[in-house]
Amino acid sequence: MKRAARWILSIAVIAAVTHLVAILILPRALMTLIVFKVSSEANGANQLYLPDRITSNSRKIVRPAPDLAYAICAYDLSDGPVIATLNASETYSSLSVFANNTDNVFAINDRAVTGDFSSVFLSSEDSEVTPPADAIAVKVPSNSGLILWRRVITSNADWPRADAARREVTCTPYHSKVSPVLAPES
Amino acid sequence: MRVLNITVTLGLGVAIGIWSASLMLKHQLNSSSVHNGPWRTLLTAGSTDAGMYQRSGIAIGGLLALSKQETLYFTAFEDSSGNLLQEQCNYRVLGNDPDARWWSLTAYAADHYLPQNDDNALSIAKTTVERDDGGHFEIMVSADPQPKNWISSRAAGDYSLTLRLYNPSSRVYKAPAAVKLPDILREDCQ
Repeated sequence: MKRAARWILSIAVIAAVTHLVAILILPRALMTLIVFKVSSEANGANQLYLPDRITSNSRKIVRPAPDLAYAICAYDLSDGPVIATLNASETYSSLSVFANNTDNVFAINDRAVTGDFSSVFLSSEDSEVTPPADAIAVKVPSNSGLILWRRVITSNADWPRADAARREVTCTPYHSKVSPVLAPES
Repeated sequence: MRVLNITVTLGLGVAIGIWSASLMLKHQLNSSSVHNGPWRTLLTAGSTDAGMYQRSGIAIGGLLALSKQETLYFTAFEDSSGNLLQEQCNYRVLGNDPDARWWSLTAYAADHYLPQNDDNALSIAKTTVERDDGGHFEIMVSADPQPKNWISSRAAGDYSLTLRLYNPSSRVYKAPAAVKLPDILREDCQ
């Protein structure tokens, strides 16, 4: 009897641990997989990846929207901040930042763009690098994640414009301007 | 014998853990969604306030979803009478433009991807829908070609419809259960 009770208790403990681990790990595991896929397609982190136009065969990310032109960048802040830009647009377009637990930690759309484009300065929470004056500073809770640009395709005829627009966005490592070290005069 | 015992115990424990996680995920997603007729939306999609079950559910069925101020996602798995949306049936989606800057309606198969057909009728949007003089639209979701406003459900099986509202008005995202959304009416089934 005691043996049977111990067996049932063991199963219950393993089930509870599996349940919690599955629920807690799933978002990060899926994001890690997508970040890896995007980095591979873009030949590295902090590089822009322009997926093909969404069709019925698109299988990279669940529930893709066929009316949107996407651009995507897998960011990696371990070597410093990253600058991403969103251009002005006549129709809906947005730049959104996702942490590695799937949270949408920041989003900006074309209505908030001032001038020709807006810059977003992404840095880790412990970064001390000063952002450029004209950039929107965003502290991200994880060193890796995704930046996703969406631009509405208003009709099939609009696709070339939407495609051109997404090619104008940027995702690049930020190198703060450091005064050159002068060699002491001999 | 001991090895067999440990293997069975581990196997059973892991299987029950995964099964219960999947059940809880479905239950939590359903109970924490806001319902409006056949439509439902999870207001914490993409939000840092999402709980662990909601975050996992979003990772499976809506990865990279935006927060509610940017985009609201209403999804229907059933028609307005409560019947599952099925490929072998035809549906009329009737309504007016939702109160948002831009919107689109798309069909997704049970695997959360677009139906694998070559009908080139994956979605209808604010800028592509044809309306009558009163501004009403009638979208046909069917496996067979339709003369206008057609979304193809061919190869979709049991599917869902997602209505995306980009830059919804604050009236919409503050009271998503109260806004008028399109009706989904089942026509004939084969």
